[in-house]
Amino acid sequence: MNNSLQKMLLKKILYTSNKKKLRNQFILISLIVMLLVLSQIFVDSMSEGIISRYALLGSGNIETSVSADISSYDFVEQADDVFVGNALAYGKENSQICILKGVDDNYFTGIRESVITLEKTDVNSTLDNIYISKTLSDELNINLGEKMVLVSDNGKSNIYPKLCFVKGIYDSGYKELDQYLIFSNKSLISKIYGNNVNKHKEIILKNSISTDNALSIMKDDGISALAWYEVEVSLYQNLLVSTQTLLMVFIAIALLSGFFISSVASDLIGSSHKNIAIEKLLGLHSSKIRQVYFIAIELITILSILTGITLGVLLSYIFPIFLREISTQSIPSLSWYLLSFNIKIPVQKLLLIVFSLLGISVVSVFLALRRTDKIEPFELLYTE
Amino acid sequence: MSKILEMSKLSKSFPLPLKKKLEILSDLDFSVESGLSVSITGKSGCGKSTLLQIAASLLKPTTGSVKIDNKEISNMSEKDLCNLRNKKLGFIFQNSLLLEDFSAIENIMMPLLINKVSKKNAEARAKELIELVDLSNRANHKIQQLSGGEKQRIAIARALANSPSIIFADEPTGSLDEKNAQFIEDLLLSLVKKEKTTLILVTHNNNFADKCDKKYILTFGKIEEPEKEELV
Repeated sequence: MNNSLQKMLLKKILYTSNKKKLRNQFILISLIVMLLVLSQIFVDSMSEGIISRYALLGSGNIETSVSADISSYDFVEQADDVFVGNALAYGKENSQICILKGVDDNYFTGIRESVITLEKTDVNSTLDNIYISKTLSDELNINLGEKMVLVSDNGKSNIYPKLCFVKGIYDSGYKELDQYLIFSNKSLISKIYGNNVNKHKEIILKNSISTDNALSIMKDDGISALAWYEVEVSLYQNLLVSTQTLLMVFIAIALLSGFFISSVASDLIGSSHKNIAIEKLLGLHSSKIRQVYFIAIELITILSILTGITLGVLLSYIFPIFLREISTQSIPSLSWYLLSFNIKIPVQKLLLIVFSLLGISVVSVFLALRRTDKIEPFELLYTE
Repeated sequence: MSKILEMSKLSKSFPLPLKKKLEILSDLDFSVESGLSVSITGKSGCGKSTLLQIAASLLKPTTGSVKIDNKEISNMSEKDLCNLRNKKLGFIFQNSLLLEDFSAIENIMMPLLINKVSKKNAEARAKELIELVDLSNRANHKIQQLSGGEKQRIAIARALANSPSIIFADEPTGSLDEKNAQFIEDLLLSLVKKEKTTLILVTHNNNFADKCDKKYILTFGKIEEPEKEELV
């Protein structure tokens, strides 16, 4: 088809009587894509944030035995030997079963320092120092510089209470994780649990390597190790199921959007019935007419997808701030979710959503535009 | 003179309920010589428009043959029909059937652009035609801004755009007042003469029909030239 003719027809479709329909299509698809992108980025980033918190405070990216020699691995960001046991923590009003984790003094340095806020008191005590989370501090009503009692609960050693001094209160931003977690020095753990203490090495990996790759290298070297998702199986399964379910929901929404685009195309053909019949009367072939309408609708679809992605990405940076704000002001239950995390753009998943939407729109518009074949010029003489 | 349109043993019927059919045209033979203006009159419902639509490739006959420029059109592919309508045929209907979203000049340019004429040449030809129909001052006006008579003048200009072999006109002055109708009749006839195009006109208006080189009457599915007395 003549380029000038194509441009002229496109201009008429886009800027004249169909303007309102196409504008509504643009707005609706942009909003749908924006919400899909925002949700996908939010859920992915939050999942990454949760995984990162679990890696930093839970089991590391990789957990191995304290005797493992990892000095030759340049992918290790930080490695800490930790002693772990269970304990009952008694506050002024409540008690709570906790995980007691014995660590070295340099545990809250480096990458952990940048993610976790830690408030310490200058007051010193002869008692064993512990760090409790802000969540536990609120739960047990224990403040910085106060004392609290820990009772060992591993069922193997002798049960006896131990008075400790709350030297620091930390906040990981994720109450679900830190509400049970108390840090102390290793000697306290040894005192409470004796020889029955569970010892292991937590490894934080550099960003340049994936957990699976690092794990594979270590296993090849004969080092027995577990990835974080093998330690925190239920958490990993939950994250996996929720992100996959979300992706399925998104693809289903993309499908529905495809049907919407198809109905817009049908509507467009319906309202352009007379024009199409006149164009056919003047000798324009159906395939050329379909081509112009196809370009017009897909142009709007692509533009609205790009707009939706841009808005979704921009909003994803603002949305957690907004959630944090409302969690402190009006919906406190939101504070149980991790609301402070780095935004990560899941490019592959976004591309999957975009291509699903585009693919569905291409197919549905193509099918809808077949209606143009049924429009005959002689109809004009009877409809007029 | 060579024959530009030949219809032979043409019949057209439309199905009715209970397996009945309504026969509009029956075993009709009709031909038109190139460069003539021909009118077809007849009573309402006699099949004038149906005959014109079949001749103009807009409707398929039930049986029979239709040739334009010696080429059979009743079994042409969609693509060939599009080419034929674009390059060889022009259409003018009672309701001008212009593209409402387009300006007057864009409407005239449409057949040219479909015919792959460059935008510059299409614009030049459209300007020439819009001058011929004396509407240069309305070239960039939208169709809604034009009167009925002006719309028909644009439709005439559009029909002439690709210098077609035949122009089919179905009641082109049917919705106009007498003064405008006279103007359009004279304009159409003078332009087809000037462009050496064949005109096949279907009309109720005997005065208009009489202005054509040949006049035919369609009755009971048959077409015939009127008797001399009848013509008088």
